[in-house]
Parts: sequence; C-alpha cells; structure tokens
Amino acid sequence: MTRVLTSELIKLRRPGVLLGAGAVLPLLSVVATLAVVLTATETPPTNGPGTTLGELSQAGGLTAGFTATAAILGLLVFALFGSAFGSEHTSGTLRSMLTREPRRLRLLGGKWLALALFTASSLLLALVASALTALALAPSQSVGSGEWFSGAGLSAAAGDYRNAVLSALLYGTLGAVVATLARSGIIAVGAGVAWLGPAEHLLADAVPGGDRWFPGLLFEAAAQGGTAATSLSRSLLIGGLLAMVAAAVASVTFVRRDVST
Amino acid sequence: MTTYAVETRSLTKRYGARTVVDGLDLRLPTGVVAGFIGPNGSGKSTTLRMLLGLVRPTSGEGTVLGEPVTHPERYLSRVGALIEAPAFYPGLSGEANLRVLAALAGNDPKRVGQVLDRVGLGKRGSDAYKRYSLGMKQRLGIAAALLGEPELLMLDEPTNGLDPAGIREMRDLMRALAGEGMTVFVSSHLLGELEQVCDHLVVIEAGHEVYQGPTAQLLDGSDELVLAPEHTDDLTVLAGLLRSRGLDPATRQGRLHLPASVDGADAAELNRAAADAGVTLTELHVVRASLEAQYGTLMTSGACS
Repeated sequence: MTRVLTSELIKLRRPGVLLGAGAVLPLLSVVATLAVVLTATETPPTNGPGTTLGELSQAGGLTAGFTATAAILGLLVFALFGSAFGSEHTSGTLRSMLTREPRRLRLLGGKWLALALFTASSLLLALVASALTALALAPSQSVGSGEWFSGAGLSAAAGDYRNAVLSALLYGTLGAVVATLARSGIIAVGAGVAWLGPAEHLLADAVPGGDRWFPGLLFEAAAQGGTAATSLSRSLLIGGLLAMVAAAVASVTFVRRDVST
Repeated sequence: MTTYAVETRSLTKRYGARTVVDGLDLRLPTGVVAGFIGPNGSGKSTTLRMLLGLVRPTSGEGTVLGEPVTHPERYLSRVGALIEAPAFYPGLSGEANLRVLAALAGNDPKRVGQVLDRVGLGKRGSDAYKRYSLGMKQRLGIAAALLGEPELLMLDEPTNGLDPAGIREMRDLMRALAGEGMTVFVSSHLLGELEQVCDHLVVIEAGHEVYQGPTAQLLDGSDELVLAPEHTDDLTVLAGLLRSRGLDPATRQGRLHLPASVDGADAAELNRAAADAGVTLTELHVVRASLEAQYGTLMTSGACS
C-alpha cells in the first residue's frame, strides 16, 4: 500500500493537478467568503438566504464562508477522483500499473488514500484562505471577531473542516466508483456532476423523502453540518453506507474484470 | 532438463462465443530471445495479457518463471513488459513517469537514470512526455520495462514508431539483454528483424499454435538452388537434365528451383552439364530461406488445415 501511495503522490505533483484542484478549492473558498461577509446584513434578509453580521460575529463565523462552499467543493472532489480513476482506464496507464502491482484492491486503496490526503490538504488550504479573508474583511464590515478564536470558535472551525473533509471523501468515493464502473473519467464527471448537482435537487422536490436518501443531498448535508431534513450523524451514516456499498460493488468488478485496453 | 521461462497447458480465452486463444501449449526455454508471430487478431496480445495477469484465462493453466499465472503477484516483480502502445502521464516528464512506476514496483530509484541512458533518453528525461516523438515514447516504454532488472521481458510490437536506426538499436538491445541472461519474448510483424534476433519462434494463428521451436529448425532445409538459363526456351532442356540426375526442379518465373541440399561441387557439375547440353546459365546461386517465406507457407498450410 505504501508503494502505491508514494507512486500516486508523485502523479499528484503534476502542475495540472496542483493548479487545478489544489488552487481552485482555496480560490473558491475565498470568493465565497468575500460574498458571505460582504453581503451580510444587520437583520435577517426577508427573501432568500443570507447571513447576518450578528451570526458572523459568533463562534463559527470564521469559517462561515468555507462552509457555504463545502458542497461545491465536494462536487470538485467528485470530479478529481472520477478523473483520476477514470483516466487510468482511458489512457492505458492502468495496465502499466497492474503489471507492477497486480494486487488490485491494494492498488485501488492506495490510489484512494493518496487522493484523500490530497483532498484533506487542499481543503485545509481552503479553510486557511477563507479564514484569512474573513479576518481581513471583518473590521471593514464591523464584524466582531473576538469569538472566532475562543475555544468554541476554534472547535466550530475544526468541526467545519472535519465535516467538509468527510463530505468531500464521500463525494470522492462516489466519483471513484462511477469512474471505475464506467472505465472513463469523462463519463463519470459528466454524469455524476449532472446527477449530484441539479438532478437530485429537482427530484428531491418531486420525490417525498428524497432529500433524506439521495447520496448527493446527504453528502451536502454532511458538509453543512446537517440540515433541517437530515442531521449530521444521519447524513454521515446513510451517506457512508451508500458509499461503502458502491465502493464494494466497484471493487469486486475491478478485481474480476479483464484489462484489455 | 530444459527449464521454461513460460509454460502453458491448454491455455484458452473466450469472450462469449468467440475463442481468442484456443488451447495454447507454450514452452519458452529460459534465456532465449523468442519471437511471437501471427496475423492481427491471432491472439498474441491476449496471450501476453494472460501471462501478465491482466486477462483471466477461461481455462487451461500455465507458469511464468515457475509461478502459476493465477498468482501474478509472485512473479511480476521479475518480469518487464511493454504491451501495445506505451502509456504514460502526458503532464509528467519521462523521468517522473519512470519514478511513478519505480515507486509502484518498489524498484531502486537509481534505476530510472540508468534505464533512460540505456535507451538513449538520458538527456531528454526531464522533458514532458507529451513533447516526446513516437519513437521516444516507445523507448521510454522499453525503459519502463527494464526498470526492475527483469528475468523475463515481454514486448508487444516494440519497434512501432521507431525509425530504421531505432529498429536496429532495438535489435542490438534485445541481443544485449539476451547476452545478460534475460529471456525475451517479443511479438512483431517485422519478420526480417525477428529472424535476425530470435533463436526461438512461436507462430500462432486464430489462437492455435502453428509452430514452436528453434528458428533454425523452421528455416532448416528450406534453402533453394536457383538456376536460370539465358533463353527461356532452354528451361525444358535444363529441367530434363536435372530430372535425369534424380532431381525434382520446380519452375517459377523463368527459373528452376531445387532444394539446396546440392553442395558446391554438385552445383559446378550441374553448370558443366548444362553447358555441355548447350544451355548457358545466367544464374546459379543459393537462395537462403527467409522467415517471411516460411511464415507464408505456415499460414497457408494452417489456413488449409
């Protein structure tokens, strides 16, 4: 497993990956923080979502912008995993890998672990970038930041990071599953993002209880620390079970499949 | 007792109703350079893939370096392979691509520079793979196959994309590797190249073995003595002369062909006899059997059987 992990980490040092996922995640987080802090109002908005200056001044205010982007970051992580797993099939590099490490489950596990470490690092960068942006904007918006570094504030930030990482890994696992089954990163990213993004939200309105069972909505709820429809623990439990079953199906398929491309 | 680097018994692969490899019994002696020949779609790549653990045999069994093909993890660390077109990560340099594979296989990182030098890419290792020419990509594929200092090297069409100089270098490389004790199993359509470098051949068609054994054995007895008279009208006279000496010439394109069991003294005698009969020869020479010609014969007889 260590060999697979080392090998995968060399691949992740590609400029395209570093500039893509590694930079886009913090950048999106900064943009979202700008939007959240700069549009915060004295009183709750009468129509549509929004944050008040009072809410921002509370313990979890430091990472409010980061949390607001967690679901989008999750979709990006889905695309990262889907592309990384799928491209090995389409480019033919899978056969080179399998002639060096024929234990296929080990190969899958090592690759997933490398991408998980990369994701956790990128999200940490995103969290730090978001926090620095919030700190820089707070005085100009009259947002009190005293609570942000209290014990409760730091605990809330750590919780937001943990939820974002767990949610992103669920998204990523699903991306890896779809790409492995489809043997294509492009198909996985196209179909997956379409389903997890607009399709699930539209269907959730039509299907009673859909927001409690659809994987994308469960992962999104986990990223937000729970929603009105489903709690954090439920979203992690059901979302995790769905991801594990999907991963088991993909793993068995991958182990048994002939590699003829 | 001969030891085999690769040995299979009734190795078979079916995809639905289509049988791609049909009961193949391979025996590849250790230390040979073995050519793997057959038309497109004859099952060569599928056979190599089964030996590398990429494709699961439908039935039959086999061993690679003494280990069963059902457990590729036991022998792949001692096998180097280039299957079809080389596949690497375009955004990484040639050197980084090899480091990825070396790390995965647990090879010494120092081997990366050594194998790049060996295939003539030492000065281009830091270039991005996407900037490599077709020939350079092929060389990098060979370098990757050599990373683990393998005992057995399996190459599928390694000369694809190489220019004549590159093909010559590939031939020299295979000879050098064999000289170091490595067993090389190489598939190619360049029969002239295989003839020069291979001491063992496996010929398959439609998944069946057509020939398997030493190259010399396949070519043995196939040389021909060719005689051509100055005037084609003299062919009948010349043929009669040869038949009167118990020989059985075949007429092709204005020439008479005899099995080249006739030695030099006999050839001189035939020349004199032809002259005595008033026939002047414009050609009297031995044509060495070529793998291409023998392969054609094998394929024709295989197709007829």
